Amino acid sequence: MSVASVRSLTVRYGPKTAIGDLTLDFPEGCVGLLGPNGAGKSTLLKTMLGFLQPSAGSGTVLGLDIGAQGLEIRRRVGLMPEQDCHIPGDTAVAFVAYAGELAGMPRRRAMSRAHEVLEYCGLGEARYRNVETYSTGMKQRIKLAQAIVHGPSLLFLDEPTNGLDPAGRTEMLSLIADVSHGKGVSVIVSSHLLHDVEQTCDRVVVMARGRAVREGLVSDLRELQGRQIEVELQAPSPLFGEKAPAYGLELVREVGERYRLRAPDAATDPARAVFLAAREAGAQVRSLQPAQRSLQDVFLEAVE
Amino acid sequence: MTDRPEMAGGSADREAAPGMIASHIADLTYRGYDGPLHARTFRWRVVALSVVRSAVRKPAFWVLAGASAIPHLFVVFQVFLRSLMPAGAQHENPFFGTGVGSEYALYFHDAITSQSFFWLFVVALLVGAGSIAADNRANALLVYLSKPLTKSDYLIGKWVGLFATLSMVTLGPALLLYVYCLFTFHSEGFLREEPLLILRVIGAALVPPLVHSSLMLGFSAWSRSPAVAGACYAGAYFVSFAAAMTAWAVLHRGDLSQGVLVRHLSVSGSIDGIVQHILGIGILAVRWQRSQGPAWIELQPPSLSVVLPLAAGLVIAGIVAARVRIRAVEVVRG
Repeated sequence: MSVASVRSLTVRYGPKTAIGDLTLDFPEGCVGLLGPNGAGKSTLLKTMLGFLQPSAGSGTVLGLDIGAQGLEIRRRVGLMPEQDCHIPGDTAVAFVAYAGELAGMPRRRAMSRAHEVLEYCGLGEARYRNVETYSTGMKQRIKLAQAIVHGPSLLFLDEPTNGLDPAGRTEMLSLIADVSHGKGVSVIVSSHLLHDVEQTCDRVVVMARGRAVREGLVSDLRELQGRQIEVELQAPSPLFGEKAPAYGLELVREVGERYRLRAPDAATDPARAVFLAAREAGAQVRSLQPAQRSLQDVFLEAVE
Repeated sequence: MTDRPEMAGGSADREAAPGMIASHIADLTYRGYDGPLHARTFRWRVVALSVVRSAVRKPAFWVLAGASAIPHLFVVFQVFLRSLMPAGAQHENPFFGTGVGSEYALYFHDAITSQSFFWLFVVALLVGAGSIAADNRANALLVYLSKPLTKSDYLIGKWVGLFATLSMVTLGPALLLYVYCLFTFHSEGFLREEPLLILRVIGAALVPPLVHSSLMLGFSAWSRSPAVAGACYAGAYFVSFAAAMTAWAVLHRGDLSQGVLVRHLSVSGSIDGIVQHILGIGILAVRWQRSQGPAWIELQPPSLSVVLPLAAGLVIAGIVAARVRIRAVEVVRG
């Protein structure tokens, strides 16, 4: 069952088309929205929240029409925006409680809930500190806290790991993975960081130039067609690439001294074929391993 | 209030959430919110209360609010001196005079317009300059409007919060002054002569907050910095005042009692004009001539058919300007 879907959606900023004729379904769970800067990811989220009116097409979020029921959508959705959004002088708990009140929670409940979600987001006693004194990682956590304070069914996270150091990124990704699994909350993570999406999401949509160019389960997208192997030579050898087909190998990609080869014929022993081709080319094999397709490969193939 | 269905992932989830540190809150797992939610109808109240709370938290607000009662204290001093004078002598000195057409209302006019011209204006800058500009600068509008809150809810909340805060500053001293006059002049027929004065005072005290809050919000909404919003409003406020007064003085230098309307074609002038009409008075002004020295002249209230639309136009312009500018997403076209 999809939590959000768009049909033939087009969004224009004046003459510029940010999203063009996009048809997409976001199933329950954690979905990554991947794409380079300017691909239309943030525009899609803002349109689904009802902030931008589509030039054409339609869409629903949690069964509600994005063109007419923006307010009801925003009651059931939480947004963690990309930019910082804290009022200087506020404490984290005041900011998050205010966000809860704006969502309709009674003041006392909002305050109590703010403490809960800030604890959950790992801010502990720091929640009483002025947000101006917070590190980037802590500011990201407050943004997540205000997004979940009213208990939304769907979360839109826009570049949630922006500006975080490796440790902060790991913690944020753990939080996202935690909240999106077994808590009754579906999450759409918009990011241009492939590693983040790979770590947290079950499904991926790759966007480029306002269109969805690839979508599916992360595991399906990473699946390689045919047996592929990753070969590293001591030095780049154009001759190796030329000789490999003679031993039943197809050259998939060549980057410096690294070669990816496919063995389409099940009868071919790829390891033996590699060594034979290398001997003939006069190249020395430094390493040989089964190839794994990364999300980066998927992404690059999709956007190129 | 409406009840929310319980969401999945209740308190049964006991595993520690990631990134946790030791805490006094026992259950650190994420749980959905299943408590009550207010209907959206009065959501603006949350914003309004936030504006008021934010204002009263500032020590400078209390200092300025206290200082803004100085004109009222001056009037109290006048009233006190007047009460010491023989009955017949009270009207011989303009300092104790009651102006055109009203026995006591001029006191309130002096207090309210003096307070409005400077002190209330400064309080408006302090409380209102950052009301929307700070949200613009912090990108907080995107977060606020991502909740079930419309732009109108947000604007109404900001306006009501600012208006209520400024009204507290004007109404408090005005009502205290009224009580003082009531006790001082009760035996002289204070209530009998002007039974509706209390309503006029309340109405007059609400005019400056109405204009200041609307215009300040308009300037604030178009700025990303409270300082810039405040500077722009201050510029418009004082320039319009100086231009109107200069035009009045130049155009009617022969007889300043004429051309009163020109004198009121500014923000502060329109406030003054409306207050005069509500209190039902004209005012006294000093005219200085080299040959004759200072002389008191009576200035009739400006034409209501001009100052009322002018003041209403300023209020509407401020609110409309703010409404146009408030948006969750900055859309750059082209």
